[in-house]
Formats: sequence, structure tokens, C-alpha cells
Amino acid sequence: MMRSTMNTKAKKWERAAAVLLAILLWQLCATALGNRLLLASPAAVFQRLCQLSAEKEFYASVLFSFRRIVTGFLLGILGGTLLAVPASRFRWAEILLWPYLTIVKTTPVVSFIILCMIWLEAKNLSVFISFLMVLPIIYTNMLEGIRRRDKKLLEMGQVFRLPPLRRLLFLSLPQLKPYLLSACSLSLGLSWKAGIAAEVIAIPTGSMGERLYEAKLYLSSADLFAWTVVLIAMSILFEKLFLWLIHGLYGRLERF
Amino acid sequence: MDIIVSNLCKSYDGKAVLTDFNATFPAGKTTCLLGRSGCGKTTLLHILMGLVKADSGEISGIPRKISAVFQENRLCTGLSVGRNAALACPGRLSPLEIIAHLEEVGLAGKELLHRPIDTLSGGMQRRIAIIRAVLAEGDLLLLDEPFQGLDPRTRLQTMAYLQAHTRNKTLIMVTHSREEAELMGGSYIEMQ
Repeated sequence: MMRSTMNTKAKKWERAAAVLLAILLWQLCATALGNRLLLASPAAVFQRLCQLSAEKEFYASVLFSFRRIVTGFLLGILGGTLLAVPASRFRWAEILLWPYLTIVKTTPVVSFIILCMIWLEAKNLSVFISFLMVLPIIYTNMLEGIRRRDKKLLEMGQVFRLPPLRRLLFLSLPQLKPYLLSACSLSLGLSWKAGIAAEVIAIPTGSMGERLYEAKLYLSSADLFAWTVVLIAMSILFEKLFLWLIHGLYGRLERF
Repeated sequence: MDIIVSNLCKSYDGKAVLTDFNATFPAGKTTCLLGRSGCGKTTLLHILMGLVKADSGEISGIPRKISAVFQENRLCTGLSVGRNAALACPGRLSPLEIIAHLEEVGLAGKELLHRPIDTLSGGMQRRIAIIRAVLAEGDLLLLDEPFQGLDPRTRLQTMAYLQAHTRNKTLIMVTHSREEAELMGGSYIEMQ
């Protein structure tokens, strides 16, 4: 136990050192190039980030994108799980779903973004795109998890005539935990990347994607880097928060 | 109501496990099933549980509410001891009530209540499986070698617990030990 805590601490320090080294390398490259348009230095990006965070519009943009991407992500979890249930039970359902999910998995995200721009309002595009990216990952993992549930435990529930809700909460959900956690970890970052890509292409007013697009348009690499830093921070923070919530909910379920 | 099994047959891949098996299990009494390995004791329990379909024969008098201790513990890994013990209980139980049951089978209840079930030894897990069956309040208890893996002292303690909490209930217990069958009281059937 103590060794594992020490290992975790050591890993954190190692990672922090690697990040510092990367920033140092970035600073060296920026100094060597000597052109703010081509590559802004970390100091310039930090300065710009401080300026941005003093603006009201900054928070509005972050909230705009956050709400939509998170909605798409949560819908993806719900949709993937709901589709995995009949697919695990009926072979015909799995076969019927197969072409759609294979298309979603293999088609480049840009193709979907351009196609969906015709059907959807720009402001809602990121919801749909992040939903699409999350859906097949959750579906595949949950399908595998449902199929690999311990049959003997399910039989036990049958013999004791456990009510459906109790079977779901105490027999199925704990067994699905590793599959759900791994699917969420995989798809969280992806939903942010795809959602922002959709915003950069569709340019909905007031979004983080629009701010990134403007940065590119005005050749402001400091802005581009600053918004990218915000994007990474939001993605990591949401991932931590979401996984913490999932662990918390499971903890309540597992304890008496 | 007595449970009556008539002319029960079951075979797996052409190999007969039960052939024209007949038995009466009196209501509210304990009946032990004895016999060598592979004579169909567990198969009979599984048929009574509704997990396996008999090839032919009839069974009557099976109540709706069944409790069971399986050959394996079949506990939910990841869940705490308390959650597992109360899993099949129809009502809500307080932690103190669960602790009392744990202590009756020789487990330090307060310390164990919130511990994940997979951190317990085999014998401890066995006792949790027995508590789960008792708390399920079934009218019929089907027990497949319930005391396996328990040391003699704990075995006696757990037997006393089981007897105290299953008075006037129908018990059908599979065992290899005639001594266990005698200690549990009631009648026994030698399966061939």
C-alpha cells in the first residue's frame, strides 16, 4: 500500500518534470525562431491567457462549448448503453446495428461535421458530433461488459427472485464498472477534440471554436495556444470530475 | 405443503444423472441428501431451484419464495459484506441487524460490514452466503454443501445459526457427511 502511494507520488513528480521540460523546449524553440506569428512563447501565451481570463466573453465561450460537448458526451453514454442492452440480448439487434456503428467508427469526423452542417444549426453541431464519437466506444464496451457478466450471479438473482432494479443495481452495474470506466476514459478526450473541431468548422457565435478560428484568421498564435491550453484544461478537469462522480456513485452502491 | 418429486429423470449428453427419482420433502422439516459425487444431488437442487429443466417427471409443492446456498458462494465481488448479506432481504435492514447476524456466525460484524467481500477468506465468504440465504426469508431453503470450508467449531456455530433462523421452514441440504446430516436433524435420503 505504502509502496503504491509512493509510486503514485513519484509518477506525479516525474510527469510534472516532463511538462516543465516540454515548456522549456517550447521556450527555446520560440526564442530560436524569434517570430511571434509563427510560434508564441510560453510567457506570451500565459500573458494572453491572463488577459483573456479577465474578459467576460471568455467565460461565456467556455460555458457555451462546455455545455454542448458535455451534453453530447452524456447522450453518447446513454445512447451507447441503451443500444448495447438489446444487442446483447438479441443477435438480430446487434446485426442490424452493426452497419451504423461501423460507419460512425470508421468515417473521418470531418466528413460527419460537413454533412451535419447541412442538417443542423451550427450551435448544436458540437452536441451531435461529440455524441457520435462517444456512442460506438460506449456501445462496444458496454456490449462486451453485459456479455461477460457472471452467469452464476445472474442465476442467483433468478433463484432469489430479486426485483429488476436490485438486479440492475447490485448484480449488473458492479460488473459493468470496469467497462464503463474504460469507455468513459477513452471517449472523454475524444468528445472534446471532435466537439471543438465541429465548432471550428461550423463557427457558431460565442463558442471556443469560433475563438480558435479567429486566432487562426488573425495569425495570432498566442491566442491559438491560449485557447488550446484552456481546451486541454477543460478536458482534463471534466474527465477528473466525471470519473470522480462515477467512483462516488459506485462507492455509494458498494457500501452498506 | 410437502414437496413431492415423482419419476424425475435428467441426463446430460446421454449420461443419466437422475433416473425415476422419487422423494417427498416434508414441509417445515429438514431433509438431507446424501450420496457419492456425481449421483445427481446438485442437479436435483438445480431442478428444484428452476435453473435446470428435468427431462421428465413431476414436482409439486415448490413455494414461490426460495432461498439458496449454492455450491459456490456466488457473492457479488465489489460489493461490501453488508450489501451482500442483505442483497435478497425483502425489507430494509439496519446495520445493527446485519452486525447481529454476522456475530452469530462468529464474524466481527462491525469491522466487516463495509469491507469489500473479495477481501474475506473462503470460510468467511461461505458464512456471508448462508446469512444471505437466511435473510432472504424464503419458505424453502436449498443448501448445497453449506458448511464446506468451515472448521469444525465454526461449522457447529453456523449450523446452530441456521437451525435457529429456519424453524418451521423446509430445508433441503446436500451433504457428503452423515454426521452433518444427523446434527441438522430431520430425515435424510441416500441417493444412488
